[in-house]
Amino acid sequence: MSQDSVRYISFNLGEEQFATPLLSVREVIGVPDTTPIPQAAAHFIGIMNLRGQVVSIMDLRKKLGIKPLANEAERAVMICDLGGLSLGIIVDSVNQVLTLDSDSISPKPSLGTSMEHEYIWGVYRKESTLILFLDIAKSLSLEESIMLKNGQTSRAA
Amino acid sequence: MDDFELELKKGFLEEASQLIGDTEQCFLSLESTPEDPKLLEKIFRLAHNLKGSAKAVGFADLGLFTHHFESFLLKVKNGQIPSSKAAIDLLLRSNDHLRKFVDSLSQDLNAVVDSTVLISELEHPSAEILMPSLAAESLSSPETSVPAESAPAPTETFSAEEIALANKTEDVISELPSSENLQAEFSEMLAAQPAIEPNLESPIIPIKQVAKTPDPSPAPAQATSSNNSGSNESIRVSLQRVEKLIDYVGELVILESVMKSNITTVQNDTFRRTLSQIDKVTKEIQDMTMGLRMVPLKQTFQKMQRIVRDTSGLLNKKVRIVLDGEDTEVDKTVLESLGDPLVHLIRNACDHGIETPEQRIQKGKNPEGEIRLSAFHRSGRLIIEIRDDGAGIDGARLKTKAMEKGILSNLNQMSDQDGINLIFHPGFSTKAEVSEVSGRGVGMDVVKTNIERLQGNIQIETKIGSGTIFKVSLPLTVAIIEGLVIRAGTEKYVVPLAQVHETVRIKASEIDNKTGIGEVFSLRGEAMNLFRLTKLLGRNIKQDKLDPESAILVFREGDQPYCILIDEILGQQQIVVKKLGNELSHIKGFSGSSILGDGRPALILETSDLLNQRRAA
Repeated sequence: MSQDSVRYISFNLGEEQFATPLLSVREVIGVPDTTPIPQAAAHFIGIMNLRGQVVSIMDLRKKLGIKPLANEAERAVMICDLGGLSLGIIVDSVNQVLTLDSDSISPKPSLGTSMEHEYIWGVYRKESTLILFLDIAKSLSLEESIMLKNGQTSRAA
Repeated sequence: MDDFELELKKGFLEEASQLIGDTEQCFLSLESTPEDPKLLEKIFRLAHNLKGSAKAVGFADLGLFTHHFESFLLKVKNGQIPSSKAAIDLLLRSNDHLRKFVDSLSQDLNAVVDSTVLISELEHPSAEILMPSLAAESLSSPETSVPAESAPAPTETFSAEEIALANKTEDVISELPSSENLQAEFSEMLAAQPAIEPNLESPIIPIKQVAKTPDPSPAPAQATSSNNSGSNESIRVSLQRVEKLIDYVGELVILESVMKSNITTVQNDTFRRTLSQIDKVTKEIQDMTMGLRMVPLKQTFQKMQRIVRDTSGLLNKKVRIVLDGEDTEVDKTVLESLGDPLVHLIRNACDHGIETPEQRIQKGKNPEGEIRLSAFHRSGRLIIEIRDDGAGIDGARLKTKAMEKGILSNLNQMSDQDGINLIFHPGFSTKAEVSEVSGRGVGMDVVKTNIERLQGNIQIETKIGSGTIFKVSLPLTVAIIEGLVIRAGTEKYVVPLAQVHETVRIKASEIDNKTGIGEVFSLRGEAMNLFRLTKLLGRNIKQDKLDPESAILVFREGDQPYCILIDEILGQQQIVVKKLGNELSHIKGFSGSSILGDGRPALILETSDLLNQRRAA
């Protein structure tokens, strides 16, 4: 492994493949029982008990407008450590661990997808596969401010 | 700044605030026993330790300040500066400055704190500090001959020489090449002695004492650690680790209870016996881990000593504070939120409670007032009493005042006892003028709110002319609360039992929804607003049909009582409170979460927030 190569974990949200640094993922678990949070945004699935710690579970697919895979067999939750915050992210499948040099990741292209580009910081292409590098923390903090705004307007209405 | 340096600096700051905290008491005791050499010794050690470490980790400014502080202390310690009130004042101010310094560095490692004023005061003490000593003259003359190498001019000031002497002491300590060299240097100094005037003896003693020890600098440190060791040996552990441990223990307890509920299916006797042993051990571990969060009130109480000193000084009153039960333990989180309310109550007692010395003499009281701050445990709660022997609170006068301010409309409706509780009303102050200390009418209501936020309450006992007792009752911990587990719709929630005034079973026919101000329930003739929890939580559920288990929870914390309709009360139990993550901070109405016996988390409701949110809507 060369010096500036980093390991990534790749996973599926719907049909699309994403990746995030392996070190930011603490563990992968099956989809747990959750307790819903009233008045939270739709992608906020609820809170779960992770060995005594209460962890929020998010559905990134709902937030990014991705249609979930019909096949639920591979569905899992990745527990991510995002700057002191532990969050669970529902994914349709966890695929593999990739070790990549930084040059093999191309910068953010102008994709033809409907996705918000701020969440994506790079792409990796190999043959027919395309993997998008996702900044989970960024996508969530962005979403949080949107959520707050929506909350206020809907209350005022 | 690399990680190692950062780590060093952080470590130093943590240690420094610990040291400053430990020494606080010495500063306060100085006033009553200014002659106690042990106190000065301890403070000196603080300054000395801080100076050395501050310089070592690269806080040059802090090092410089502690250097001057140390030099001044040395003079007091040697008796060259009498430990008068003025000198002690300067010491206290230096202590404050030191604390502020360390605090700002903790917040920002590059913080710049200006110490020039204090340094110049320490370097050139005012006449007030120097004056009481007639020895100034006689002391300075032998001085000149002591540091033979530096040979100060006779015109130099007394204090500059003194610092030179202190520096010299420091040099001896730090250079310290070998004991032979030291001896050589020392004998040189001894050789010089005969030439010196007889009354030289006292100022040179510290050097002798320091120089005699082969390796003097670690010596005081060893003395400290050996003092601390013994019965009360302790280590410092971060709160985060403790909380993690508590999480795991909580999970252990749940797993264990799942195992216990399945025990009937097990035939094996050894297994059953072992499980019941595990049960006992688990309970012990749970109690112990919860105890890890408990800290004594000591530091907070000692801070109050200072508050009384400063406040009474400002008000020209004489007030003595007596502390009782400083070793009483309380959860760290409770302790942290307790400081501000206590300071306020103590200030209030000084300002409104204790009379001026003249008034007290007129009343035949001791001109010096007394505030007694005591703490103890009673039936699983922490009780803190603030008792003053001042004027007491006049309920009738408070009522009149409330009339004038338009807070109260009818005098006669209220008893004098209830009148006393008016001091908790927002925007209420009886003091005619706003003083520097208190009297702005903000405060007592905040004190009450803060205490209630901790699931506590505050009561007043007062007698006109002889004093007032503020009695604060608090839970020992906020990590565990007594909670009511309820169901609304399909979900379980927890309501802190301390907030619920009573619970009543209810039928749909008892709800009056034709009032125009929403649904109303009449409890023994008292009409109160009724809110449906499912609705407060933003769920729409059919109106008319009520669950047969339906009940209402009655709340009486605000001005208006209200009740909340829930679908079922599932039980009452001890709840281990867990904070919600930041990702949920924008959602109001929940003070935390807890993991229930079924292993699933439930939200802890903050009903007043839920209602406010609804009102704001």
